[in-house]
Amino acid sequence: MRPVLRATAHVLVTAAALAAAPAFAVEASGSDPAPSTASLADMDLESLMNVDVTSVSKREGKLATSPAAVYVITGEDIRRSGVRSIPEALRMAPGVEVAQIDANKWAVTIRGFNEEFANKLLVLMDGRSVYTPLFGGVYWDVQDTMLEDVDRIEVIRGPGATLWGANAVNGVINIITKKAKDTQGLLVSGGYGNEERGFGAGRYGFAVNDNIHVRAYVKGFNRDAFWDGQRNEQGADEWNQVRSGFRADLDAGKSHATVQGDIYGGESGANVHAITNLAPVTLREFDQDASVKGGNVITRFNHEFSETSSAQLQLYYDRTNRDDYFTPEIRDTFDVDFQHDWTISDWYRLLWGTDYRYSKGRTSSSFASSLVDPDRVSQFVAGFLNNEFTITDGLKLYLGSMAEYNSYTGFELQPSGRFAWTPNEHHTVWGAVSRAVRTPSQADDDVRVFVGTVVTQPVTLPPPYPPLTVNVQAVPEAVGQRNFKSENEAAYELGYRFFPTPTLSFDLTAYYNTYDDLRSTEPGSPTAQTIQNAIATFFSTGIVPGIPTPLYLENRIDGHTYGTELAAAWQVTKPWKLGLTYTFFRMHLENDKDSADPASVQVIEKSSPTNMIGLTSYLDLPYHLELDHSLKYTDNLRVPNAHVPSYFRLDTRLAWHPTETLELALVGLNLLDHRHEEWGSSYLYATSRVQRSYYAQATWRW
Amino acid sequence: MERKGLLSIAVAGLAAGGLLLAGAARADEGELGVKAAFLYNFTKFVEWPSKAFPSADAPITLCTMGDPSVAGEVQKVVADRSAQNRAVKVRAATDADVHSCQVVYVPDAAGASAPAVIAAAKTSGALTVGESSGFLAQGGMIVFTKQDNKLRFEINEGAAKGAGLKISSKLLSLAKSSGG
Repeated sequence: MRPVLRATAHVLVTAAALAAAPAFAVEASGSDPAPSTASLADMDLESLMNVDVTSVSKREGKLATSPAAVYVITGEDIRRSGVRSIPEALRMAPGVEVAQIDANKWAVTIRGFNEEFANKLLVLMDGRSVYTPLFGGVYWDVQDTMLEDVDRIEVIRGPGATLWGANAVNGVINIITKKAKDTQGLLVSGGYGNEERGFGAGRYGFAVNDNIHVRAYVKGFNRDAFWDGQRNEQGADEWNQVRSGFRADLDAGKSHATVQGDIYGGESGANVHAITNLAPVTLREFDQDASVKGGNVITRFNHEFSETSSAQLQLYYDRTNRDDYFTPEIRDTFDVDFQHDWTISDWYRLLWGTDYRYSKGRTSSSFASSLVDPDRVSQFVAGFLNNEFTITDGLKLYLGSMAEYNSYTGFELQPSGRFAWTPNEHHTVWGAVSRAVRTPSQADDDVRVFVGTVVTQPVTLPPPYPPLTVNVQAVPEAVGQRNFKSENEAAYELGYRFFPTPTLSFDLTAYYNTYDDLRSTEPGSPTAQTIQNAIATFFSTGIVPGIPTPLYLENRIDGHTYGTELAAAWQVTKPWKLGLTYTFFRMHLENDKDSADPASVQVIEKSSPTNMIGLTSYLDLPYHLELDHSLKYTDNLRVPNAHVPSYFRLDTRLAWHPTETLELALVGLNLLDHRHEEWGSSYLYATSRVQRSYYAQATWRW
Repeated sequence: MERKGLLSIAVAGLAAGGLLLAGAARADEGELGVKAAFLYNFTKFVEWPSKAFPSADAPITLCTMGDPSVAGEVQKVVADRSAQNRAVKVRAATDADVHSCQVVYVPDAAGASAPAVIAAAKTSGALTVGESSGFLAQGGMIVFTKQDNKLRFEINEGAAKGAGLKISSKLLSLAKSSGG
């Protein structure tokens, strides 16, 4: 048996042994029974002020009847899971594939197509898009905030393009922070561990007057590198960052305004794999700390014109400055967004809005990577209309579309039709048919990057040379194409939510998605110019140079995916809550007849696990103790030459609240093995093995 | 070895803790239940003007605005309790019949009726409890707030005085300073 399996068997045996001895356990009970509904009224005010109330139930009420696959990770979930970053928190949601590439890089996607720059998932923080138009995807190492101030992370699986626009192909993740009013007072937190080499955070929230609440925070962390499995030594992926931000909310009856912003700076290390010379061909592996810094400011105005009509205007500016080896970039993004929610009659509600975004990245090139237009501007203007019809009391129909005009492909239409039927409080059935597109990134159009492998292959000399065939070192180079098209999706979804009792809930989703015009890399021949240059190099230096052989980015893959996702929650007793998630995913892709892409289909198909299972337990114990566990299973990834075995993860947290204001926690992450792989290979960086991590944390609130 | 030790502790804790507490407690009643308990507690710490009651032994009527099912949930918590030698009754109210209530709870979703409730309470001498931001600024008396998943409340003592209500110093001391 492999070590992982053995450890798991041990878990099951131990659990069974303990379950067989309930008499002992019950005898040991000395805790105060938690308040029941009837006894709540007998509690005095001081005690009531200590009862935890999460606003989940209120939100679940709305979520329960929503016509989409929505899962909410609450601030409480983040606290009790012990995770230290947003991508790690996303493992809690069903349907989300999270694979840690190294200590500061993640591949995160929903419903397939995972890679470091997974481009079919839109991610927003307080309404600010963090999807980069450069590669199409998210730099997870700079998406952070004070985790204690996160109200919730809404994970919407399936296309959200009708409301959120292009690239929300397979999902939308909304990271939403608390209102300043809900983060009043002082909070100081800090900790240390074997991988967490010191972290700390402080936040202060105060009221200017009855209507204006403000908070400000500063946080920082220093993380150790993981294990470089290829070199079999400690990796070069250390990670440190400092971040500070604020939020101010003005509540003036029917008008609300919010101003918020963050700045950050830090270093994200990596062992870079790059072609640094062609004569002779040199593939270098070297350690480099990418310097990352940036900031953003958001202003948002809401006004309620009447009970049935409200509007929101949001503006933001965002700067990211990333000095990494391949494509150093300074990007400025400006966005203005307007929405109007109008209930016109008992049976008709209209939600409409417009969005304009301007984003300009100034990139520099390296020997391995460049962009044809280093300063390209990406722009779009979009408008959406969503009509909500109440057919009968429990049946709603939603018809809408997003229309956008972007600077890459022009006009794109992304409609959807949805229904939700809630016959009573115990059941909701919903379904949807949608179209969504992934618009080209700057890289799809303009990139030229050596993909870090070298193969010896025969090349026939073009005219005017004699038709000689010589063996040369070919250096594959991905080449973007200006005629790259949008990738298209048609999605069919069906969902069922079941609440048999107030303490038990099930959320089941099934989907079938079809795709066409997916990105392929079509091998081409070296151009005559390339070969002439090589010959000239040979005559001037006497060195036989490597020959760049193009891999053209085109749209010649089609296919389909299907799968199911389950989320179940069970409040076993007041102090004990269990959660279960299960994800099943299958993908079948095909090259078009005119495609010669030898690898992409295999790589994309195998980059997603077929099965994922998650089990969580939150337990409140006597003496103000909390004991929390999370066990996760992820299937293997049979990517050619980059096979990742299946793995289990166990995270455990024990916390003690000696006083109302102090929390002391001991957290162990990845307890089941010394280290394991989650991602097979990257052609730009060394990948790392995730190591077992322990840390201790103290949090003081005043 | 290290792995084994850790796991055993973790699993033992999980299993034993779960069994220990199984059956000891009932379902989570949620935020509204806790708010209902607060509302009931408030009735113990408020002195109403005599005009607020039709008779000396009339019950304290706790009214909820908006969705009528809120009253049902509050009633589950308050049940047949009494305060200050008066029975506490719960019912759903509308803008039209709010003048006969002694406590009026305006949930966030019913925030639109706050101005009407506040105006009526001024003449009838009712305690107004809200939760929408700006409720105190509008002239409401108590507002629920939340801090780190725990309920808190703020009091606008001036508004209470204006309607002839006296709020006990105990309640005032537990209230969060409203920052003004």
